[in-house]
Amino acid sequence: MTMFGLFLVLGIVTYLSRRIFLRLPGNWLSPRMRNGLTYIPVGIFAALIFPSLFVQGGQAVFQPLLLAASLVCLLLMAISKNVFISFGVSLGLVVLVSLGVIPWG
Amino acid sequence: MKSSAQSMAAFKSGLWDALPITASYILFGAIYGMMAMQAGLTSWESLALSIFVYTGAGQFSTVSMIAEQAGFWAILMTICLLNTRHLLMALSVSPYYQQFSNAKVNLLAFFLTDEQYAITLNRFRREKTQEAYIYGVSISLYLSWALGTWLGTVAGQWIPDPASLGLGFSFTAMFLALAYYQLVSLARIVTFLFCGALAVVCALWLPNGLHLLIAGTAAFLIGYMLPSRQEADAAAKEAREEESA
Repeated sequence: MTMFGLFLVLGIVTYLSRRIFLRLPGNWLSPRMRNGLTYIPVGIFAALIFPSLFVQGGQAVFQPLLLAASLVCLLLMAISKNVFISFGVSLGLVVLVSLGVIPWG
Repeated sequence: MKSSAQSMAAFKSGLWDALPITASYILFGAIYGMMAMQAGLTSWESLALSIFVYTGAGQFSTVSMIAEQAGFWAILMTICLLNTRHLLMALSVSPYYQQFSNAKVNLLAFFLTDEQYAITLNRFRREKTQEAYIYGVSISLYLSWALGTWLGTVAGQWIPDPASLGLGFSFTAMFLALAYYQLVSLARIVTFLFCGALAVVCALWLPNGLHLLIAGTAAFLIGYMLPSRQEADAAAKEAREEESA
């Protein structure tokens, strides 16, 4: 199989995984089903966030800097309700520590 | 005329909301482009993967497997596993896509990525679903990923290592900020912590990508088993009536 043939198959598989459930028939969406669906983002966000903080290269890790930055991000969200500020300040903290501008540990 | 102005405003709003992530997309797209060249792909092949498949984690896995000369079925299975998360993401936003025609849903489906999902979902939570907004976010992210890939293929050697700068945290920071809006009750906070712990355990033991599917499914089941707000309100009303009787 050529490289473009492989890409075509991967593209189709990826597209179908995104499309299949994107519009369900309306009669499937009972109040209970809707309630369940509103909880999926909670699980998805948790699965995107927690492993990035506690798993690296298949090993469990403890990264105090990232945990502190995460707390800063959540605190700023609670205070400001502004995604830009919370994102910028917490990421800025990690970058400045990584560059050695802010001493850590 | 008014509708067109509203659409334009929603489109611009989408571009603006996606802005914090576009810089990361360009940088990580460039890293992917550089890796793809090292794996032996040509510039056109690297760019084609970004344009036609458009799945960050899947592309990184694909080029590293191509570099290791993995077979077609191994690559396909890996992509299928990584893509399982899209099934649940699509399912959770499906109520917001009910108003769109099939043709529009067919087009919008192509742009469903983790970050697009997070940003648009946050908007749907507080404002009515607008197609122009989804396009604003999607096009911005898509073009920045393609641009990053191209930059990586032509100037890979000058791209800084995001890990050494701590930029890997950019996606976590964005997801955290957006997840905050989901944590509106004790039940949701407990679900968030439970699913996070479950995802960590699964990420340590299971193939890549499955932890998202398992955590998302667990959250769905919790939400499904809990009484919905309407049911809870009705039960409380009934109890009050019984009490007064």
